[in-house]
Amino acid sequence: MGTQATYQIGQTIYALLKERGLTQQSLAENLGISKQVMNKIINGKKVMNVNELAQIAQVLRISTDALLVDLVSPPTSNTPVFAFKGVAVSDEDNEMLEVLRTIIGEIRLLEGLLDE
Amino acid sequence: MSDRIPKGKLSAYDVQEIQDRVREKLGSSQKFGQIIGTQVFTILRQYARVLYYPLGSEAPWAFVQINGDAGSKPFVVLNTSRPVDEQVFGAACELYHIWFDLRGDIVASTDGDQDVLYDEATLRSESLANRFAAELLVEELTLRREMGTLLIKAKHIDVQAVLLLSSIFCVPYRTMTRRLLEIDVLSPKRFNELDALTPDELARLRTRYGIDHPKGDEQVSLDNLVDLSLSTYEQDRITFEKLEYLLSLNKIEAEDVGISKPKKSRMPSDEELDQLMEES
Repeated sequence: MGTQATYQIGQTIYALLKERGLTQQSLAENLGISKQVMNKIINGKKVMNVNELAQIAQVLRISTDALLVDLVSPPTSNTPVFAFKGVAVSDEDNEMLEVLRTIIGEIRLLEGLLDE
Repeated sequence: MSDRIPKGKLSAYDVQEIQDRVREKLGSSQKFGQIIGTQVFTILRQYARVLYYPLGSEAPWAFVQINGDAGSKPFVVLNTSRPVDEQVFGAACELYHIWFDLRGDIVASTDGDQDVLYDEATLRSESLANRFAAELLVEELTLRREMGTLLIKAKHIDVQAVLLLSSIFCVPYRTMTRRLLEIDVLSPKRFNELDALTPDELARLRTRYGIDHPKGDEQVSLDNLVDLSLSTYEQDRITFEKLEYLLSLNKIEAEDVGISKPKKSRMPSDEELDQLMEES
């Protein structure tokens, strides 16, 4: 069962993957875990042990501290999150979420451009 | 309701609090005594940026993207592949989350193991949102008034009457049966009988009785994305290709909004190049 802390770590990993142009699949392969387990980590549904955290930090070439940094910040992160009416259970659902994240991201980007 | 919606028990105090909140919201929006139905979309728009998008008939009914920014409106996505009554119910649930429950839940997994997807707090939150939506959309006095108008007697209520009431209030059939149970119009035994009907049986009965049940229209409407895209293009902040891409998200083409492809594409600006580099 995940917690707010595992969720935040998952989001940090997700952001770092995006930043580095890496996929969840590639990180999963590097860690020797399945895509499903990787997905649970990203979505904060899996509690990781210290070794797993260290491995992820190594693959992402950051310190373990960097993975945990948001945990000591007050919960006012601007990271948007989704809450569902229903449950996303399939790969298609998750792909659909990516499309929606993209759309929302583009809207925010355009607003930023117009505000400049 | 959908089998993808978790169930959870609420206390009498929870229900009382929800009813107070519904009364407060109906009063402040001057909707008391009215059938809310699709008006919920207009209400939702006042508090959220609404994206209508066809996500498929098996996907969630609706969801909200909550931002950490205080004061900024959250994004709510409504799945236009689902029947209209489910979109209405989904919208009402999201209103609950926006008004009373702005906490960052995320539920996404690929393993299909629904039992592990919800922690206790999320389950409770969804139960509260479901009850709030049901009370908002099918307020007791309004429901009893409609039953009186239609000469529907509690003792003789049948599936045709429930289907008709569901259609009038624009809520899913199972929301209406549960609501009738909650206000003691249905006995638990009668509720179980009516609740046991399958979606196929309900569809056949709707056809038989000539009761309307609007399907999802697969509409795509993405808040102000089109306007923003055109404004930034008109200010030369994005290329025609980028405009085409943005409009494609809304399932339209540049020609649909009166824009033709320029004869010679201009070079992207430094900002756009930086952005492209970041995205790649």
